[in-house]
Amino acid sequence: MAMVQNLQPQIANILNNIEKVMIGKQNETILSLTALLAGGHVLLEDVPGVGKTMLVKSIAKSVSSTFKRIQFTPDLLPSDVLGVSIYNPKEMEFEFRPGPIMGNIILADEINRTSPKTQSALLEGMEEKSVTIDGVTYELPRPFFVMATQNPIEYEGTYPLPEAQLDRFLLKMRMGYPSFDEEMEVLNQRQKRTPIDELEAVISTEELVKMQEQVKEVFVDDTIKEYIINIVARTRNHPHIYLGVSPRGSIALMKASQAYAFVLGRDFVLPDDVQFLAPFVFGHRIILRSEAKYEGTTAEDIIYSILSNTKVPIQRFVRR
Amino acid sequence: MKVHLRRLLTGGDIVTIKPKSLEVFLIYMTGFLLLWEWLRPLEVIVQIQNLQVFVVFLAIGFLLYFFQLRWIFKAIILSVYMVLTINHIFFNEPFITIIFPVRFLAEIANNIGHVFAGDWLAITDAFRTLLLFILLWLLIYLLNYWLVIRKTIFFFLVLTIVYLAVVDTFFPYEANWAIVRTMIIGLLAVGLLFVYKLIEQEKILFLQQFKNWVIPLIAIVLFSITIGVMIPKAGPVWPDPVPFIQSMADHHPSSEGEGTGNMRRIGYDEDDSRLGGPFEADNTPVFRIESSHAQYWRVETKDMYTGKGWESSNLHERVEIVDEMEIPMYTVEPSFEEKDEAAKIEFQSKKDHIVYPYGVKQLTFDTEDTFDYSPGNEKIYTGSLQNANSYEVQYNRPAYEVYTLRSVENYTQLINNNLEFYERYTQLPENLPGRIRDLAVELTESKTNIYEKAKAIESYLSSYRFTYDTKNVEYPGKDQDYVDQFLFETMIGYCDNFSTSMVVLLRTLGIPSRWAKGYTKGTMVGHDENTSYFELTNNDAHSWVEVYFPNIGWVPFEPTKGFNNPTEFYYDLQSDQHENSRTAEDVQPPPEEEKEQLEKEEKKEKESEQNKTEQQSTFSWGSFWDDTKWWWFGSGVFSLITMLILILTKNRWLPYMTIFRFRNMEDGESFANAYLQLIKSLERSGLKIEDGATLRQYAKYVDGQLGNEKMSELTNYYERFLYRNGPEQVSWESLKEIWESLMKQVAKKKQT
Repeated sequence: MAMVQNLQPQIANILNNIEKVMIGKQNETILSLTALLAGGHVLLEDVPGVGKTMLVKSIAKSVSSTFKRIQFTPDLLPSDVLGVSIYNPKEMEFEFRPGPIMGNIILADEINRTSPKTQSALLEGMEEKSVTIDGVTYELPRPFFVMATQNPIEYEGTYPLPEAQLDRFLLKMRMGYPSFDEEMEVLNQRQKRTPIDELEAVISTEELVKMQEQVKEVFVDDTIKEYIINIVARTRNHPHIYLGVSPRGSIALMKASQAYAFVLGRDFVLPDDVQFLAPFVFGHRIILRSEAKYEGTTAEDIIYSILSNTKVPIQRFVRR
Repeated sequence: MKVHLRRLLTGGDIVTIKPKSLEVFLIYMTGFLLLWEWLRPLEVIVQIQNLQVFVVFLAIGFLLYFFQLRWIFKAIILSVYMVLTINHIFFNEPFITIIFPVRFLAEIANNIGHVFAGDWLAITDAFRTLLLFILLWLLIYLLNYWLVIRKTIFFFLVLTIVYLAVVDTFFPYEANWAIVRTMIIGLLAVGLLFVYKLIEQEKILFLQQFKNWVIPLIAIVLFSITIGVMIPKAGPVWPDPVPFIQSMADHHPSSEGEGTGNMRRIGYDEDDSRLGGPFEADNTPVFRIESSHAQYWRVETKDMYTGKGWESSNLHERVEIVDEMEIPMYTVEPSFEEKDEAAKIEFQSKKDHIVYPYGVKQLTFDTEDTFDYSPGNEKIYTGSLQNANSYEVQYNRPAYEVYTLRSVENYTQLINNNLEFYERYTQLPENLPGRIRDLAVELTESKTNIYEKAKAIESYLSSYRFTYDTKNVEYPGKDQDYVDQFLFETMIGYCDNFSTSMVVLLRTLGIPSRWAKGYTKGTMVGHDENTSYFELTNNDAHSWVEVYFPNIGWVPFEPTKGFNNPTEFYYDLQSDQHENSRTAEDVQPPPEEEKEQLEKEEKKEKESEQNKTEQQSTFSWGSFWDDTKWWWFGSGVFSLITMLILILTKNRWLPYMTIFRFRNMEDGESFANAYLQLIKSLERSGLKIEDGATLRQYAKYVDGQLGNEKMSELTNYYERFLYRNGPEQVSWESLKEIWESLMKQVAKKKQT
């Protein structure tokens, strides 16, 4: 990524910290941090073993947050996620045992392996930032950041997330394999020790929450909003797209752009931010027509083509 | 010279026009040459001797400014030069002695006394010279200011050209080459100053740029001057404004200045029996004349029209004129004459005929007193005058009162008294085609008096229908009448055609008239207080018309297109009150008031008449178009090419226009506009911004192409302005430099 030289200082600290563990995944780290700051969640779609867990763990450690991991299996129940009330005979009452969702940063591994019921329990929590168990509503801790993973190659015995649910994720991204040099470095690093254990927190949870508040202050000019709307409108009219981006998608892109601009140390959003994020924000929000799928076109391809055809606003007060 | 040292944006090169450099020298040189052009005509106009003294003064003055001496040294050096020169010319005292300064100061004091007394004529030459020096000094100072401080010369250039044009028009100074020189120097100066201005303002690197500017500049100036000199020029629409303006100025309504332009005449030839055919120009001088007025010079008149040309009916009678005897020639009745005048005529080459003005009374030769005069054709014979080199002529310059001329309505009285005379001057060949008379009648139908009729015919011949030409003139056919051919067929001819036609037309109406031969007023070659010097060449040979008015005499008319009758006609409004009672006898000098009134009216009349004749005689859109069509065509093509070049090279100059436009703007809004202009310019030069490209991406691309980071830098600011919503803290002033250098890079960039 080209624009890392002007990072916001605190973010730069986090990034440096994480780089001790994650080698060559700067881009993904920044995207994750962007989602974290925007108050959204990330869907990681990749094969096992490319460092998804490591990424989430290192982020959690760097921002001194509690890290929980839920390994989704077909027999996992919603209560296994949310928590359960257990009768305490000593106290003569039901006592709430919080589930793994009650953490700051949660890795929801292989989310498509569990039943839709359990999935929706998690997703509802992600959206509402609270869970209701036995009539009692429990606020989820702040910050609350879910990183769900999906294995794209095994379809047997999976429950693919419905489109409506996918909408809950701010970004969808891939990790990808490291390059030769990167992998060599990984091997060297791991020969003797596990660096994740040595990772120290660089900012406090409070600071993180404060940064989340600051992100909301990042200025979005009307021209940028127009630009977002133009892009979204094109996804709705595109011949290869069956279902375009919803207004929630537009909001997501704007918020993500704000967070991304913040990460890059700016207090206003540029079209560049929008362009950079659009494939990640919209990739899982559009449904391609079958023809396009059979041709091997991906949602990202189409978004890129839309971006390259949408005029970037370079002038004030230009209306269509 | 005030030079501002400015730093280039790139690196630390210092852009400057150094004082005392070649560039500054060049510009002072142009100033010097331009001022010299102002001095040159003085030699002719006011007979300044020692002009070189003033030129040297100019040169010294400009050199002093060039070397930027302190003012005190300038003042001392110039004063010393002035004083020395004046001493040398006027006093010639040894400078070191006490006598000179004392005399000099006394002289100045004396003259200042004269000045305050308003006694302008008493001012001595030495003091005038001093004043001229001071005037030149002021001019040097002024030009220094214009050239070096203000860096504009255009106004002065225009002034110079106007000055030269005026001098050329009213004085015998030929400014043709002066104008060309001035244009060359002036345009170079304008160009150079523009370059210097650019250097100062634009901070372009000097030494390399200078050549790039100056060579095309010289090429363009030379090219346009060459074109200007070469292209055919339309003859003046108003051939000679001088007579009119002079008549306004000195109440000689019909006197003329020098040079009627491009008219040429055949040399004087006694045999006029077969007229027609073309002739060549001949510049051989024939007479040199000292006279107070421009006027026509007559040699003889002819009375018999043969259908092919003119002959004299009575050549046998000769009168010997002896000892200051008056010549018995009455072209004008005595009472209509003006005051006595005299002229001196020198033979230049031929001596076979004598010229004399209207109203001639006496001729005095430097060698002889006796000569022959033939009343039949009013010619003075030169047989016995082979040794004479010059002669003086006494004459009364006639002036004709138009009202009196108009009062002549018929010739009944003349026919009754002198039928022989009447018939002699209304003679026509028997086989004259009838349509000539028809035309004459048609032209004069509405006119009641002789003068109006003659005027009508004169106007008709001077009208657009006829063309003055000396080359494409045919001889009449064997059975063709000379006048008929000209009037109805060729309509192209020179003075003989016009004058003969007028005489014949008049005679068909029974108006006695004859054909006069001689010379026009010639070319004024010099000018004194009261005397003008004219030179008559063969080209000035001319023929015109005389019409007989009873009680008045032979009155000259000028039907030839492009010529003005120098004879004085005046209008007397008082005549209206006098009714018809005014006769030759009661012409008296009018009282002073009336005179003024009279002159005013006269001017008015003259003016309107002048306009009228001009319209009729010389101007027609058709011939104007014919004369100038190549010029129009040429300039059309030229402007097309210029436009094409401008369009093709717009990437070169448009950025500079834009720079100029935004130079003085300061707010964020105009920064945004400037930035967008920059993008437009970049796009024009081939660096297109793609639809999906953000400004940053584009800036990176541009920077890659231009090899620097300026576009990105500028874009950072613009992004702030655009996407941060507001002009806040964008300092256009500081960005202007980056922006301008980018614009210039665009201008220099090779087209892709």
